[in-house]
Amino acid sequence: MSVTLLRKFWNGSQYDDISKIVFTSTNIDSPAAAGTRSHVLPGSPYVGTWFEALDLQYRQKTNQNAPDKHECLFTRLYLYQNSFTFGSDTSATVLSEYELVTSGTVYYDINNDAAINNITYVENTTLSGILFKKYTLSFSSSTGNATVSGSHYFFNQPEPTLSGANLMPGTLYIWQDNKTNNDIWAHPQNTVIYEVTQGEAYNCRLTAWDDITHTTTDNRILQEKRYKVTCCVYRAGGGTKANPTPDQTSGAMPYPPCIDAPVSGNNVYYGDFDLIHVANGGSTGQQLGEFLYFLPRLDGINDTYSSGNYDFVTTLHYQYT
Amino acid sequence: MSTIRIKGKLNEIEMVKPEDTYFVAHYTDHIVKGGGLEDTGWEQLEDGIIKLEYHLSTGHVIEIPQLFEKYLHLVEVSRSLLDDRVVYHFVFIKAALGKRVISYRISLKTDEKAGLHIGDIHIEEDTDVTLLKIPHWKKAEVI
Repeated sequence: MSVTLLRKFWNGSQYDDISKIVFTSTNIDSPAAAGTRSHVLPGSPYVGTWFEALDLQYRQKTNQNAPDKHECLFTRLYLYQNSFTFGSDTSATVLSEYELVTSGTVYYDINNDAAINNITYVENTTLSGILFKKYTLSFSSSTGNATVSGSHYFFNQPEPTLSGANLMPGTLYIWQDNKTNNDIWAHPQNTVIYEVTQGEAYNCRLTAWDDITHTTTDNRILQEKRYKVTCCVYRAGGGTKANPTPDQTSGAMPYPPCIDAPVSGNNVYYGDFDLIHVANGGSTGQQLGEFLYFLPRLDGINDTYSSGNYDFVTTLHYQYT
Repeated sequence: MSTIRIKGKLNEIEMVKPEDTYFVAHYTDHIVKGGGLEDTGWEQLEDGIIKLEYHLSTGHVIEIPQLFEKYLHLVEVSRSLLDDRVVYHFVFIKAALGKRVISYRISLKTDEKAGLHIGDIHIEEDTDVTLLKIPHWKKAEVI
């Protein structure tokens, strides 16, 4: 069966087919006619980020600044205890770079199901120069027997140097059901979003190449790894594509997110992961997906780049039966 | 022309014609020809394969050895965000014996810069333990 992947972006009122990602001046009204380009005004941030459909282009960002929040749908937590074993342990002390919502029920998924029914703020703490908030999580249930400890995966980002006698660099990810799209850096309404609507795509990989052959990365922007993406792969528990709600079942996070990582050919990329269509609402009757979204930016483009066009091609690689 | 030429700014490749590239599965009393690279028809195949071949639009015919218990067929593509253009890179025939999987990678493109040519076959053991969980393996006929 062939696999069907839609690629869209939110234009403010509905999802539209995306034709192009454009980095050009912010000195243009949004939306503008597709193909509108302008020089950067003196003293302005270099370029904005635009998503272009066939007819109109929409400005998403007014600059190329790095994310001010390392958050997408999934919030990363660090274990602040020796280890945590699913199926037997019922509480954990964790560190978070960002404030957690401490009311309501939140869900998490990395390898096993776990429902967290209480989050209690403990204190702020600084480790290796990084300010964290410490919380105690109480689990109403968890299944399996995996023990979280050891190194974690965080695509192309250096691991913070964490130290402390009681700290193990195990990672949990949670999806909080009472955080809105506006609370996080990259969400389904400000990103390019892929949705698999039929079949299964295996070993998916998001990257970028020079041209339509998808074979070389001689473009200076790709060579210098200045094209960066924030990505999230997920299955929603309900809601809508634009406002998804957390999934309470295993597999809600098919792959860990990445925040502001470069992509360039087969050297550095986001992947590999599977995207499986959730038919008929899945196991609960309300699930949606699966989805991949990404928010791109250009990092560190300065006056050493002579004026002109710097084209390159963003691609999704995958396999199907 | 039996191939498609894709000319980019910095590289040029030659690719098979997807509609004329397909598997052929032999059974005891019939043969099934795949539907091309876009809608391959693999999932509709029945178990009981005696022989598996791959026919490329260039005329290459690759025969997979009849040593295995089951087979999986995967097409690897890359899809451009710009114009939804698809480049067909490889066909993988995964062949399993017990828990061991041998991967036959057939090149669907000629890319001189990468040293790849249409019809090239690369064989290696595949250690991806999640492969066997994919639900579309087809069993070979027990001879």
